[in-house]
Amino acid sequence: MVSQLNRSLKRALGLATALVIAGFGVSANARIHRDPGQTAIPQVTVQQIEAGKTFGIKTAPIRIDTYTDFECPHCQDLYETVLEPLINDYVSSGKVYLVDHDFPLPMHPYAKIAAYYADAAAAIGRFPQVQQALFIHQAQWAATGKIEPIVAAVLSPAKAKEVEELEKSPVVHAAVQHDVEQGQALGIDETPTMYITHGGHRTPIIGVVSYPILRGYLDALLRQ
Amino acid sequence: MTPASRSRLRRCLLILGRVALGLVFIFAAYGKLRPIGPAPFTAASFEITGSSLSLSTMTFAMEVDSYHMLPTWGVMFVARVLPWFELGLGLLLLSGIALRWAGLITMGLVAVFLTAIVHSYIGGLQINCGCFGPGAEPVSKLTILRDSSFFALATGVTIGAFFDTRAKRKPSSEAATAQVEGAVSADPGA
Repeated sequence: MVSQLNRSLKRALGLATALVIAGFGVSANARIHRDPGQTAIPQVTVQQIEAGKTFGIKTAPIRIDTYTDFECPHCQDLYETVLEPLINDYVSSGKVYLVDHDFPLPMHPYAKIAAYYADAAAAIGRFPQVQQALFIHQAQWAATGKIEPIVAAVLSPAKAKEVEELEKSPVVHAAVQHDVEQGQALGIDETPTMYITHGGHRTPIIGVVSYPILRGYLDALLRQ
Repeated sequence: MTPASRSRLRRCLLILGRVALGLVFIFAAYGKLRPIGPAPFTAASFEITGSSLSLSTMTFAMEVDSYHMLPTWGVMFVARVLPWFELGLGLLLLSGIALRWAGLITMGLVAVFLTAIVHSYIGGLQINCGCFGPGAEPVSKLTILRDSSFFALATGVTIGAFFDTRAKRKPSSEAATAQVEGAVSADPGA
């Protein structure tokens, strides 16, 4: 009888502890929501950002590196007509590993800021959504420079806040600069530029190639 | 300078011009047909197989396509035919066979290349030239200048070939006239 009472008491105590912990949790969460200025900004590294801008598996037989500028109309064309179907047909099936690099050109006033936003989104795993929004609404933000509303529209308020904070982070700026330096080392001065690597051989493609032709090329590569 | 030495010089220049142009075309064809991967002008870079050809063709097709001037079937036709056509034309120029016609076709072909390059340059297309096969060679003022000099060379070779043929025909027609005149004077009834 006493042992049964003890067991019930223990259960009640356990439940009370759980409730208290849960209560603290809810209150802490509520505090974060009450004070939007105190959003926790994740600590990120350049490597994490770079990993966030890749699609597919690293062991895929073909690797495609793209150097794009978010404000360049040809890059928008490449994204809409080539990269989107490429992701569906070749990246999803593990045939292609796609790596995105920023290469904002000096002649485009908002391209670098757009790249900062995209890399900030990459740091929190939201690169595909932000990349798509930036390219689809290119004409809109390129005319006004108002990038933040375009990015916020495709993210939850909390994630949008994180991206906004991260966009100013020196790590994000360093990630963009790293991409630019990589591109310059390859001799790139135009966008879009793609490098298709297969079997240790790299083929540069400058400009926009039509998807049926690229598909034929990738199939020929895979047959090798 | 005597007419004979002038004619010799013209003939030498014509040979130099057609050999240079022929080598350019053979080199351009080789760049488009050679297997992707091996270093150029090695034994492996001449081992053209079915699969290597298919890859080289598709690589060249991507460069033709980037000019945005042809539909997909047109791009594929050019990618499959042009390298072999360039090779044939290069061999014709090198050998001097049917030089007038080879020169005329070369002029037309280079004019088409030049138009495509100028069109893409003016249109602000940032693309690979693709003139000598795959490689990062963006269309620029330099590529326009280079193709213009090829066009000038092709024009020179064509004009030279026509002059040369006329010069070769002239003595034989003169000889024929002389022969006819001789025959007429020998005829006592004339």
